[in-house]
Amino acid sequence: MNEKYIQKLIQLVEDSDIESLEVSSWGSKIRIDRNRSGKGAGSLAEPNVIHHVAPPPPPGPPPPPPAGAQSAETYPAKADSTEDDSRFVPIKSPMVGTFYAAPAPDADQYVSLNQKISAGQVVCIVEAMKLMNEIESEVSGRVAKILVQNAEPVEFGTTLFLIEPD
Amino acid sequence: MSESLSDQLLAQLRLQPQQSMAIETLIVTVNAERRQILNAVTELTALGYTLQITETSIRLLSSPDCLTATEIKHKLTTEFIGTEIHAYQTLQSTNQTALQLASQGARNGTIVVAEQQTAGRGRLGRSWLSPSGLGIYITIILKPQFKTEQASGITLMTGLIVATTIEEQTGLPLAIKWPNDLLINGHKVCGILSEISADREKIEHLVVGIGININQSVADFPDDLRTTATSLQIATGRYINRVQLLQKLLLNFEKGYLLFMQSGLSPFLDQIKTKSSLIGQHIQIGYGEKSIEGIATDISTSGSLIVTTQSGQATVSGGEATILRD
Repeated sequence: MNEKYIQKLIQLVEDSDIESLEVSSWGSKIRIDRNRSGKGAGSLAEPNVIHHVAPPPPPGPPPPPPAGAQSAETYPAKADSTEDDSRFVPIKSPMVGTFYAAPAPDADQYVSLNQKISAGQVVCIVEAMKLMNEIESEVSGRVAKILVQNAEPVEFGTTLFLIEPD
Repeated sequence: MSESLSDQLLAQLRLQPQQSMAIETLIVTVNAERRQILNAVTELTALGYTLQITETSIRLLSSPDCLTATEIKHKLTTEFIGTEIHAYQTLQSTNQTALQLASQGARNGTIVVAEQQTAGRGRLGRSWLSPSGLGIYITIILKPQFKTEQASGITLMTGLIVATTIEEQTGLPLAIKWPNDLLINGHKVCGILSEISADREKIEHLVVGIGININQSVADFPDDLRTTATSLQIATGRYINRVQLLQKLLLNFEKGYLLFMQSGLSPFLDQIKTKSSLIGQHIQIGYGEKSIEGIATDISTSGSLIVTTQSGQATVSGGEATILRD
């Protein structure tokens, strides 16, 4: 399972309504969860981005293209619960890294649920290899949802917050 | 920044090293009165310069090892790193000031340096002890064209550059503790902290902060750091000229950064792995309240640490690593 293939899968999930996708191929298994805050059984508590449950695939023919992925199990997307999220403005992670809700372990969180925030206000830090990225909100509004937990790993494009704009 | 009279005077005196210059000539070249020139001489003496003054002439005998813009620029051979230097006696944190300057439009390659930091920043609010005149505390402001994703390798690249520069200058072998610490015999000598202002597409600016313990003696470290920290002076047994080391570092950084912009972390990866103190070790990585345990086996092209755990391979991009002694 090469990186490109996995990226394609991630893109596939991102572009669809699928909430979680599990693919087995050549002894490797990958599961992609769209919504990390709603951790289901089997989701990973560890800070790994990609988790191979088996040793790397044996040499041989390359893995089949995603279109023909044999044992891809898809879970039908749950009708997105009660709320319509379309009025919210998402704040997404600009990079792979670790989400921090506060500037230091004993400090207050940058923002809390339902807090009013202004455009340009720092809402969290995403860290990768000691590169600290203070994430700002592009809009003024109310913190409607916080979708990740402190110290949780995030991907490029993971939605961190939903902001209800003024 | 306009040059002060003492900077102008210094520049003139350095035109002919070790030669006396006639005060009458200086009056013309720096366009000042005799009294002002003598005041500037007093200022320079207070900064640690040694000057020989007669009725008619001035000669520069020696320069102090202080990190002023003038000293750093003198003999600096970089092309864009350090063309603009903001030097301070005391700052809370060079990163903090650099971020402010960057958002006010400081240009690519600007550096911020302080003799002392009162709130030197470590990771997540931790501090970096920065006593006056004994270390190098510097932040480089960059305005890169690459995507935000690529930036996360910058700390590792910088770590390698600092390590090789110190090795060149002192002969000491350095180890890199992924991702941002440099060690001599297991003792911390340098820390790197980068901060970025970026959205998903574009980087506004990126600041790379470097703190190096240079001329501290054991007594300069508080008790709780003595077993974990060291300085170049402690490790070599001799005084290290900070200005020279910094100039070499800036030159090496510039070369490294140009390559990094072109090719990312790949050209540096072999050396980073060779110097890594974690590869091959049984480690634990703490992640907030969680942690994982396994053997650190590799570093990816993005700079992540690959850890082989009992249940498979984990790709780790953050957290605090500890080597477990079996």
